[in-house]
Amino acid sequence: MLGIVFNALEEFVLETADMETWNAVIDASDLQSGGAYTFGVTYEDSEIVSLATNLCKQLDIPLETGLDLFGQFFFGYLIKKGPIELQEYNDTQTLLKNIEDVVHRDVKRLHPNAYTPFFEYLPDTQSSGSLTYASKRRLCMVAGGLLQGAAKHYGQSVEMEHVQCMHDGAENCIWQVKFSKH
Amino acid sequence: MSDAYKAAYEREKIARLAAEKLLDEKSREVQSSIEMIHYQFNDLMSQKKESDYLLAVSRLTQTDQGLKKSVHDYTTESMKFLNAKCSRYSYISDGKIVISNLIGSDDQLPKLGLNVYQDIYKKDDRSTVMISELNSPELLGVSMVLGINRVVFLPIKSFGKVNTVCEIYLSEGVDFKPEVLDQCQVAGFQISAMLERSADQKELEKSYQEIKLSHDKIKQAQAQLVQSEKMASLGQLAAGVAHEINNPIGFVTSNFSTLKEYSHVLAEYFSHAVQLAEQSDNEISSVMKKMDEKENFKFLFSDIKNIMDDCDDGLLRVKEIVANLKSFARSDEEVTGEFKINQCIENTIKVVWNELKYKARLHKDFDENDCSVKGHEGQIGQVIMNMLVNAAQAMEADGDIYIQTRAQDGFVRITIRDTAKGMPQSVMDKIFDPFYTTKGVNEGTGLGLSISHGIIEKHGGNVSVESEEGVGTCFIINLPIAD
Repeated sequence: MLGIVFNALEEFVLETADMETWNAVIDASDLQSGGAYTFGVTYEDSEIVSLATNLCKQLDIPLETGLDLFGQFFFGYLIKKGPIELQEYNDTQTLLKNIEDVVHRDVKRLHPNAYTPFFEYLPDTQSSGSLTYASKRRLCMVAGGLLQGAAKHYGQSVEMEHVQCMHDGAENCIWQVKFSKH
Repeated sequence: MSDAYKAAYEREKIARLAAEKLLDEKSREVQSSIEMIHYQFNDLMSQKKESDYLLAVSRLTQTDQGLKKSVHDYTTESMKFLNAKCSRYSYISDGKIVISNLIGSDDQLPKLGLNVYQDIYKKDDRSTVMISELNSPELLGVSMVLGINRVVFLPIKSFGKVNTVCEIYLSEGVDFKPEVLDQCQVAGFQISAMLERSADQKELEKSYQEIKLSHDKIKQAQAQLVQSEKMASLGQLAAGVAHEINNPIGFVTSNFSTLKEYSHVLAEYFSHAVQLAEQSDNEISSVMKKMDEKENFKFLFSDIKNIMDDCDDGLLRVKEIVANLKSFARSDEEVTGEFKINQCIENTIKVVWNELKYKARLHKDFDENDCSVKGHEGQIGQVIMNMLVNAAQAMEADGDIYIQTRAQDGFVRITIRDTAKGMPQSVMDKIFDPFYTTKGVNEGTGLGLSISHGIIEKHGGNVSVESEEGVGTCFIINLPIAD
């Protein structure tokens, strides 16, 4: 996993808690990197799982909630520090339609060895559709949080129904989503 | 600093080091990419230059601008391609090596050593592009002035042999990959192919000209054959006619001669009788006087003499025609004996001079060597006489007759040219046909030139005519010189 995700998590912890909490999470996690993360470097996926788990323990919140909150925070972080293409869209639907062909392609161009999750948005109407997510990391909670973060960024509210989940043995996760303007 | 931030600071240092390392790696990648792009750009430019060069050479092989110009242009293009200072080319002409002027410089460059050229021109089996240092003492000074230090030889082969070599002179700083010379070699192959194609074309044109010449000769021979066949048929006919007329004309001439003598006797007798009758005065003389007054014997006998003379002329002409027909019919007789052609013509001129001298000025131009010709001097003389008389008769006013002999290639060529009125093509086409004449009735038989044609052919020669209306006519006779 790219260092940007770890940097975002650190930023998330510093915003929602404090440095001591982050240090405690790092100390509690058995990390090969020692907790020092650089933006463009790739780290073991197990480190994010370990960090997230220990963070939720420290904050005493369920893992799902923690990941969802991080996902929402992460989209704002990506807009500021992620691929420039993210700033070209005006609504979540357009972003979702272009995420594979534009955003992930650019990530691959800069980091050829990076692993990116798969997103596919199939609209039913102009404001609703289904979103498919697939990843070997099975971080659908983060994905859900990202979607909410995106809607918030574009001034939309989103209703999400997680109709299929990889954690239930499915091949991919599917949400029925409906967007509306604030 | 609190312990918490100290730990964060330590992590930040590690992260920064990783970032610097990553930055370094990326910088290297970028640098490598730039170098790769630079290399690829240069490679592309080289390929473009090669393509432009090959295209230029290919174009010049497609244009028909002569071999020398093509080789000159190929040398110039190769010089530009190799960024050379100057160039020149050499080629073999009549077994000698000819060297062009220097291209790209007004200076003069001495010939390279003869052994250098001999070496290159001999390398037929492995004639490839070569590069040599210019270090011979005689070239060293000029090389320094021109700023050159190496020469690239581009040999061009045609049909397996090197016949042209381009010399491309390089400056000291100029360098290129060995593959560049391969492109020069490829371009050289194109020039070689062009040289071979051009040579093939020339050979083809030569063959065409030879075939055309043969075709013309065959056509001429065919025309002569047709003429000969015509002559042979008419010869037989003429022989028959001459034979049939000869006997009756013989006894008519003989009897007419006797009749003429008898008429002389009778005329003398009547003259005396009339004289006696005038001197007497009797019945007989009276009757005779009356008859003389009525018939006018003097006029009668004078008229008989005129009629006899006319008949005599007529019979003489019939005899001449028969003799001509016989001469025409004898064309198959074997030719024997030898005579000097110039002497023969001189003798003929003497015979016809009286007919020529009032109408034409004769210009003689005989070959110094009076060639011998096998055959009948009289018959050839007859032909010459016929043509001289024809020339004189064709002149409406004063004119010139030029008679010339020249020996060449085993033949003596007799040319009889006049400045008379000439004749149209339609007349020339029939001029050797028997009985064809442009003269008036009783002026020509139309046998003269056909007999001449037969005589010349019988002597193994040929006769032709050239004419232009208003300018004159020229008869050309070729007779084989005796061994």
